[in-house]
Amino acid sequence: MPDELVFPMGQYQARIPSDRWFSDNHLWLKRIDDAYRVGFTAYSVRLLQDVYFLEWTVEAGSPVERRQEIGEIESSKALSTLYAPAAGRIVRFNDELLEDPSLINADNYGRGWLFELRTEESFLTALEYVELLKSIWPETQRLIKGQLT
Amino acid sequence: MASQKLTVVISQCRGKHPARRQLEADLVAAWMADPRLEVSLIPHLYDMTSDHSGMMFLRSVRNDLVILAWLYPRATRWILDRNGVKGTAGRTELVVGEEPMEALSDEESPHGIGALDPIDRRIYCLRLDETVGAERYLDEVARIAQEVALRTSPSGPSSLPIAERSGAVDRNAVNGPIECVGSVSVSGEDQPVRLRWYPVIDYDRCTNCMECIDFCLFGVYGIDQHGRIIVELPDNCKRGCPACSRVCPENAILFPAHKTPAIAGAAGELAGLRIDLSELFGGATALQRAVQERDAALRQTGRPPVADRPTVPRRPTVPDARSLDANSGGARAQEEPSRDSEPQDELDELIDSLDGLEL
Repeated sequence: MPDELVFPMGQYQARIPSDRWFSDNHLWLKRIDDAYRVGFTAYSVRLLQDVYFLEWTVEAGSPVERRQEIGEIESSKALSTLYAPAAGRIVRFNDELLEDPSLINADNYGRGWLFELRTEESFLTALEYVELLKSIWPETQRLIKGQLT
Repeated sequence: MASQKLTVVISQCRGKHPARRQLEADLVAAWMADPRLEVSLIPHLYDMTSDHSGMMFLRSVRNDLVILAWLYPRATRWILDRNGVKGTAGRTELVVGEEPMEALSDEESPHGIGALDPIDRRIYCLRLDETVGAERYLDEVARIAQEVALRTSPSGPSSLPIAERSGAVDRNAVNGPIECVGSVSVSGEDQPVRLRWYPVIDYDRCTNCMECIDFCLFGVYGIDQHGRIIVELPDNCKRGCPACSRVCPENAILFPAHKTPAIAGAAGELAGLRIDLSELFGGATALQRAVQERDAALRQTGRPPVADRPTVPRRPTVPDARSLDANSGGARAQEEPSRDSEPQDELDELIDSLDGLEL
């Protein structure tokens, strides 16, 4: 398996690294001790573009349900509520981002991580995630197109 | 100068909003004094029924028409269309916020089934906004009046005075010495209107897919003799419910009174709007929201919610939009590539175009 896969979004090639897991709401998860470190995939960042503001609406240490609202994000092109990728407990947030959310753009797979989640659920491989992206790409474009026109 | 006067119609705001009423009054006062214009006042366009005298007045106008309404131009255009006021969209240069006010530019190539029986005249739809000074509307209507005079003059532009051919807008023609004091006609004042709520179909986008008629459980939609989807019983629609517009794959259904600009008919609206990606990150989808809204409307009328259970059998086949065009004599019969063979790149470009947006 190559180190990373790519998913083409127009001219842009979204990198999907093979060393971690993925959720169907476009977050990556990498095992760190007994939890997963979680961040935005390149697909998410491409759609968000420059992140201006990030706010968490739950406390570190909180138990969360799958799809529970956990925060808000605002960028140059978009805003969105953020949702937990799985049921579990959010162990901690990346404090560095609250100072400078542009790390999400600069290094989304590294220093731009969002939070750490302890969960028993399982996630998608890079390959499965790329397949998911292929299947939802037309719908995603429709979502954006519908809001632009 | 063309002898034919240009008809300018102001569709009044709902309620008695003082700033809006003032703008309407200022515009009427200025245009009454312009010998090139015939100015009329009608009630709010969306609220008039087809047999309202204000709508009958609009149908009686056969030449170019400027209509100013407290609606997005796309909503104005298709409300007129559904009431038999036909024509092609005139281009306007007036911009409110960052939004070009023309509903449809000549460059846009709509892939919908198109309006039925368009006639060869222009309808200029301007969106009224009380934060925009009257001056800009006066300038734009003066510009349109010149454009119309140039276009409709029987002996062509060369017969016009040089000043008018230059293309510069001569504001003195509007605000200068009053050569002829006109009058304002008021249509339908005697017929009160009530606030209505119903969908309006943009046929430049509608592909006749029938998703809306399948989704709506209130009998709002119907099919005409040409097999085209229509809003048959608008007043069956449940106030506040925009669910069918969310399920429309082409975003062809407008609710002109909805608070969300995209649903109310904003065209090319980018300013002030950001894309909401909540659905992507795990929030409710448009369909889920539509189902919730429909259930709420059902409960209001004492009917049980249906959630997402299929309530009507899916239509096995849908007439093809292009063959409909041929059958109904619609305007748009040009060959378009089949949608299956359309390259994904058209939509891919949308993503790339995000880079170009200065939000």
